[in-house]
Amino acid sequence: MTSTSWRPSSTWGWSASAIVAATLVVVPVGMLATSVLSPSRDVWAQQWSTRLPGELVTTAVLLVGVAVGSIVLGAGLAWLVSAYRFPGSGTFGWMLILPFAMPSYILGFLTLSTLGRTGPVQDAWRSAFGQDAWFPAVESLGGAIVAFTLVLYPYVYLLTRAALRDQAAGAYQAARTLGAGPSEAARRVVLPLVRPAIAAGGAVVMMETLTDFATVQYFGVDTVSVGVFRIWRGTYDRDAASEIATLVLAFALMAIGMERVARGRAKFGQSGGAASGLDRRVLTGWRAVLATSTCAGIVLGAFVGPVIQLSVWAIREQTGNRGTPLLDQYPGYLWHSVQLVVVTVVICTLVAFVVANARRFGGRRTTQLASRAIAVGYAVPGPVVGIGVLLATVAVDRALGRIGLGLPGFVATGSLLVLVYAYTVRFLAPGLSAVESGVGQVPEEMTASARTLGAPPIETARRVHVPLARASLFTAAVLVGVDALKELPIVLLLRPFGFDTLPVWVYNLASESRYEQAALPALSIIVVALLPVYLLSRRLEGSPR
Amino acid sequence: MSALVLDGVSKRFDDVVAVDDVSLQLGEHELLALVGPSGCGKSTLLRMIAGLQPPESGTIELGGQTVDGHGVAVAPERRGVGLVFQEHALFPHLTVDDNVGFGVRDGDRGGRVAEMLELVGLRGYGRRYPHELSGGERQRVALARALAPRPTLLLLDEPFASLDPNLRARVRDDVASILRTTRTPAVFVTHDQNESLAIGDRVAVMQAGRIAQIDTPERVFHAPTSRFVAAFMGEASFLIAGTEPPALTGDDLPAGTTVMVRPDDVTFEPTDAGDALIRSAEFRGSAWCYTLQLDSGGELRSTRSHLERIAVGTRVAPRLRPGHRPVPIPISS
Repeated sequence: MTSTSWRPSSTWGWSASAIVAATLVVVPVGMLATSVLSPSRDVWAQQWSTRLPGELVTTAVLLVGVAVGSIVLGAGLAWLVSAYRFPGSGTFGWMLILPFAMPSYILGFLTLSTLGRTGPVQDAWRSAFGQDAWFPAVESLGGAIVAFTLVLYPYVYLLTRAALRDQAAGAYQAARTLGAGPSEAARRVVLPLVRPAIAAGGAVVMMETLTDFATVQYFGVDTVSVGVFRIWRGTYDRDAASEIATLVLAFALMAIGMERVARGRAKFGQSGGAASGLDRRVLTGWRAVLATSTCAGIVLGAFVGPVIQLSVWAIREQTGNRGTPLLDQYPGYLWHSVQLVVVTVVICTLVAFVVANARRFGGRRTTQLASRAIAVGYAVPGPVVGIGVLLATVAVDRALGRIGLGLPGFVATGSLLVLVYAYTVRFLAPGLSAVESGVGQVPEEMTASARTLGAPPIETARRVHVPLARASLFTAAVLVGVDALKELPIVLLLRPFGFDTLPVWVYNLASESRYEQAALPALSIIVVALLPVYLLSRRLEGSPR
Repeated sequence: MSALVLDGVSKRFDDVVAVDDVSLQLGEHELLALVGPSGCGKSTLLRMIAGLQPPESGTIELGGQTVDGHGVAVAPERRGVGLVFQEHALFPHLTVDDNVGFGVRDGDRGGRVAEMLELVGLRGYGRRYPHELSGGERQRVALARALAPRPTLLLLDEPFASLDPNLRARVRDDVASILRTTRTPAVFVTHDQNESLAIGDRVAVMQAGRIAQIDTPERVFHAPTSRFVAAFMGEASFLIAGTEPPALTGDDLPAGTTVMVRPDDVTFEPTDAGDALIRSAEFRGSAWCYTLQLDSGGELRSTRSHLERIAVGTRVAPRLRPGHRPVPIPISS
C-alpha cells in the first residue's frame, strides 16, 4: 500500500502561495532574459554603431571604480574602528553608516552644485588662481565614481565589521598567542577571514551602481542603464529597451561571478568562541589625529556637509523674498509617494509573512526554493526589473485582450499596478529575509503546540506567529518602505503620466539646476531614510548573539 | 477500545530509516513509556502520531478512527491529541490563563481553565506570564494546557529532561498521578530507562527505528528478549552457559546459551579456592559494585552492601543469589 500525500489541512495552500509569489518575482526577469533569443538586428546594428560601445566601456569602468573605491574605503574604515582606539572612534563606529540614508541622486546633485564648474568652490578657485587655473573635472566619470563611492561604501563597511566581530576576533587572538605580531596576524588571519564579506559588499555596491541611471546623468556619464532608459522613454520601443536591458543583466551576472571568484572556495560560517572583539590598540599623536580626521572627513563629506547645505537652501527657499510657490506642490508629490510606499509595504509584508509561514506549514523544500527565487529580485538591477515587469504585464494584457477582457491602453500608458508590481519584485527580498528570521526564531514546538491544541495553520499564524514575530514584521515594513520611498530608477521608467513622487520631483528640479527648491523634498527623503540606519546601528552596537 | 493503534508505521528521511514498521496498541487508560537511545526514532514516532509529520506507510488509528493511511491524513488540529514538550513551549506572549485556555473552544472556557490549574496545583497563577514561573511550574502549565481541550490521547516528548534532577522525580510522580486521575491515555518519550520503568504501565524499547520489546516494566527489565534491551534497561553482564561456572549460568540450559545476570543477582564469598578475582571496585553510595574476572574468561559485576569492603585482588567464589535466575538471551540479538 502506498501512503497518501494528500493533506486536507490546507498545508498545500501555503506551499502553493509561496510558489506563486516566487513565480511572480522570477517571471519578469526570465522574460527579459529570453528576449535575447530573438534579437532584432536593426536595434543592435543601430545601437552598436552609435552609443553602445561607449556605454559598455563606461559601465565597466564605473563599476570597477566604485567597487574598488568602496572596498578600500569601507574595509579600511571597518578595520580602523575595529582594531584601534582614537578620539571619537566609538562615535564614528555608527556615524560611518549614516551615508546609507543619502540617496546617490541627492549627493550627486549636491556635488555638482557645490564643486561643479558653476559652483561656488570653482568660482573661488578661479578668482584666486586665475581663469585658467586647473581644477579636476567634476562632471566626469571620475566625479561619478567618487559620489557613488561616498554613498555606497557603507555596504562594505557593515559587512566587514560584522565579519570582524563574529569571526575574525577569536582567530586574531589565537594567532597572537601563537606568536604572530599584530600586522602579521592581520595579514595572515584576519584578511583571509573577512575576504568573503568584502567580496559580498563589493558585489552589492556594483549592483547598486548598475541600477542607477539618474545620478550618472548629472555627471554626463552614459552607462548601459542610461541607454535602456533613453530608449524606453524616448521611443517606447519595448523590444529595443529589453534587448539593451539584457546587457545590464549580463553586467549583474558578471558582478556576481566576480564575487564568486574573489571569495574563492572560502565560505566561513560563524565560528563560535567567546571572543569579545579585537583588542583595540590605542592610537596616539599624529596617528590619532590622522585617524580622527579621516573618519570626520568622510562623515562630513558624505553626510553632515550635504545635510547642512540642504538645510541652508531649504530655509533660504522658504524664507526668501521670492515666495514659496513650490511648497504648494509638496503635498501632491508626498501623497503619490505615500500611496506607493503604503501599497508596496502592505503587499511585501503580507507576501513575506505568507512565504515565511509556508516554510513552517508546507513542504520545506519547495518553500526554500521559493524564498531563494524571491531573493533574485533584489539582486537584479532596477532597469532589468522595470523592463521585465513591462514585458510580463504586456503579455498579460495581450492574453486578456485575446479573450475579450482587454483594457484599452492598460499598459501602454502605464498604470500604478505595473509600478507596484515592479516595486514588489524589487523589494520583497529584504522584507522576506527580515520576516523569515523572525518567524524562524519561533520554536517549532510552539507551532506544534498550537496545532495540536486545535488551531489550524491560519489561526496558528495569527495567534502565535504574528505576536512573536511582531518586531521582525515591523523591521520588514521599515526596510521595504524606506527602499520604496527612496527608489528613483524604477519610477522614472514606469510611472504613469503625471505620477511624480518625491524622488522624481527632486530629480527633475536638480536636472534643471533648481537646487534650492530641491532641498526640502531631498531633506524629507533623508530624514525618513535615517530610520533603517538607526535600526542597523543598534544591531551593530548590540552584542553578537 | 484502543486509544491508539499503529500498524506497520514507517518513515524515512532521505536515506535514513527513522521509524521502521512499528505496530502497537495502547489501552483505553494506559500509560506507555517509549524509551530508547537518542536517534532511535521515538520522537519521530510521536510527531507522526500527533500529525506533525506524515508517515510514509502504515496506518494510525486514534480512538477507533483512522487518522493516517487508507487515503486519509487528518491535520494535527483535528486529531484531539495533546502534546507536551521538553522545553514546555508555553506561548511567551500569553498569561498562564490564556495559555491553558488556548485550545478550549467551547463552553465555559474560564471554568475549564480554573479546573485545570486546580488539577495541577497552580490555582492563583493565572495572571502570570511564563517567564515568571519556575521550571516545574512551567511543566505543570504545559500539562494543564494540553489536558484542557480533553484530548483523547496525550503525548509527552522528554517532558522532564529540562528539569534539574532534584525536581525531576517529584514532577514525574505528580504528572503520572494527574494522568491517572484524569484517566487520560498517554505515550511519553524518554531516553532515561529508570524514568520509563517508574512511570509506564508498559514500556516499549526502541532501537534503530524498530520496537525491540514492548511489555510490563518488570518483564522488560527482568526478562529482556534481546541483548540490546537487556543492556539498555540496566547494568547487565553476559555469560555463556557451559563455559562459565554453573553456579552463575544454572545447569539446565544447553551449552552455548548466552545468559544475562544483573549485579544484584550475583553474590560472592572470599575464598582462596574461588574461581574469580576482584579486578576493581566502584563506590555507589548505598553499595559497592565489584567487577569480577572469572578464570573461565567471562566478566561480571556484583553489588554488595556498603558496610563491607573487600580488597581488589581478593580471590572469590561468585554465585547467583537465592531466588535469582539467569535469563537466557535469544542468539539472534
